[in-house]
Amino acid sequence: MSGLAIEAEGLRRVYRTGGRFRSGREVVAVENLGLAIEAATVFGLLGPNGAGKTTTVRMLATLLTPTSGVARVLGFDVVRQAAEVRRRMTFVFGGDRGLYGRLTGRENLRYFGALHHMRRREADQRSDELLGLVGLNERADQRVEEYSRGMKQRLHLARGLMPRPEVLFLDEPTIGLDPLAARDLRRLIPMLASQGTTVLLTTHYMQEADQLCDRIALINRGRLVADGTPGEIKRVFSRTIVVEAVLREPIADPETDLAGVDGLRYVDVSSDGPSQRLTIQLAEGSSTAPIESALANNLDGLTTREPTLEEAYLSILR
Amino acid sequence: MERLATQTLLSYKGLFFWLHWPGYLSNVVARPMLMVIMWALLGRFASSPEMVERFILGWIALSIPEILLGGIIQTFAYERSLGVLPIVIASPTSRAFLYYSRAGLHCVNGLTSFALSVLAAVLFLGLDIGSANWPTVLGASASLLVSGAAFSLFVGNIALLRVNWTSVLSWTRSVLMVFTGAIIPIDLLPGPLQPLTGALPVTHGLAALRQGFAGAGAGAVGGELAAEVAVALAYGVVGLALFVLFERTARDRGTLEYEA
Ligand SMILES: Nc1ncnc2c1ncn2[C@@H]1O[C@H](COP(=O)(O)OP(=O)(O)OP(=O)(O)O)[C@@H](O)[C@H]1O
Ligand SMILES: [Mg+2]
Repeated sequence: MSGLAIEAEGLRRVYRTGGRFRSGREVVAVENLGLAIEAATVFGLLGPNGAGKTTTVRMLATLLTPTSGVARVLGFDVVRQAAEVRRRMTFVFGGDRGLYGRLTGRENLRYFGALHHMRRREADQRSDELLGLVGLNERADQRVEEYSRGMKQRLHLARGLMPRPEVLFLDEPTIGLDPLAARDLRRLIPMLASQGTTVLLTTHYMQEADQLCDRIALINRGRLVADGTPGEIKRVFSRTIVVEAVLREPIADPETDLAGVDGLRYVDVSSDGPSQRLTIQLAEGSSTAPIESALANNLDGLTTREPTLEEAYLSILR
Repeated sequence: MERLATQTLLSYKGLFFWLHWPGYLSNVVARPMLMVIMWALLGRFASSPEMVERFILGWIALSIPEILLGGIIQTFAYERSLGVLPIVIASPTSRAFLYYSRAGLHCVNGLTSFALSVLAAVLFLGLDIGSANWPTVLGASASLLVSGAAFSLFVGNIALLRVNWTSVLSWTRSVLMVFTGAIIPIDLLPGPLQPLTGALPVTHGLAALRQGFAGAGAGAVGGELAAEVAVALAYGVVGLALFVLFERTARDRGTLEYEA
């Protein structure tokens, strides 16, 4: 598979809020967003709360009409050819709403299978398979209202996979999952991509994004601020290097001691056994020599490394 | 004291779901006025045995849309409050399928309600069914069933626009009670309103039902039955068009995921 599975150009969404009779306020949730997502890859959409991630996903999933701009999923316009998009796409939104509590897990899957034109036998077979995959086999015939939150979240995932979608939107899919289930999901996602599914994922767990995503877009206040592979985000967009300094004697106020260092952005303090560890972010191209002279004899060791995705994220958004 | 005031104010604002102009006007202002007028009118007509028989047949006919309205409007409202609406809307299933399928089993309830209210009327109210023409009665009830289902879907649609479903339900019930001849004879309604009654469900089917219980053959009520089915078709077709329109509106406004 090759080519673009998801494209957006100049995508914009304005929400009008306020009453039906009062004149409302306008919130620009997404502004001039462009995306180009290769088929059969995992794409991460990251950004702070309210950045516009869910809004973007809802527009791509035909749930929300863009105010302007265009978006295509598998070449089909999400507004004019919504029916074509819906035939090939599913979404899973984090949280426990969106299921019929009075039906069992299996019945829920059967219903959603039918919505996707699956025959009863095919749907039952597929739901057996998926209930096993998400670890709900034993609870399959229990009403969903008796499920825990994480179990509902797993059932949502099974629901999203029912019709073997070509494009899968996952909006914070690991929220509420226990570590084991989250790990299973993180193993599943690359497997789906290798089988040809294009996955668009939003998450607030940077490690998850780093591990899973082939490419990442970072948005803030509705605008794209960085777009690239996790490596590119860390190296190019962050414009930072990270220095780890281990100190013999803890110091009270490292910012003051390091005040004279050129390109100093941020200092984080942690303890490392009896000694103290400083994680120092420097603007890219800065030298570490001033740090060494500022800390002088107290310095036990100094290493330089590339920022983690989380550090890069913080540095880009700061 | 201040805490009590805060609680009083905020629990009112947060939990009183009719606190917007349409909700407030209809539930707090218009409904009490309508209620007192309606029940007073009812009292005025309940004065003779023939009137009581009118009421009985009227309520037998209304038993069908009563249960259909309640059941079907709920399906729209709970779909929204459970958060399933976006999933259903973003599925490839045809809108007609989505729309009409939710009425299916409610029709069984409609038929059960009908049969049980006839039974209750015979057992407890002495309804005389000796002269009834059963094919006509069955035909009439079938026509009430399709029109009741089509009308309920039509009304339930409105829940897609986030209108409070309990008020929608009580309003439509009142309308059917007053304007279909179930309780107040149509020729006693204000003149300008009389032609409108024909556009509501129940009116024609009920007329056929009354004649059926009086012994009229199917031929005599053919026109009324056809009219009731035509009304059903109209609500069915216009309702589906509204469903599609409301879906688009909800996507434009971004309200598909709202809870209520
Ligand atoms: N239905 C809505 N009506 C009005 N405003 C909305 C609506 N949905 C989102 N917004 C606003 O749009 C902006 C973007 O919200 P969105 O939900 O897309 O953010 P997000 O990136 O998904 O955030 P989070 O990480 O918290 O999930 C916010 O300012 C939000 O208040
Ligand atoms: Mg979100």
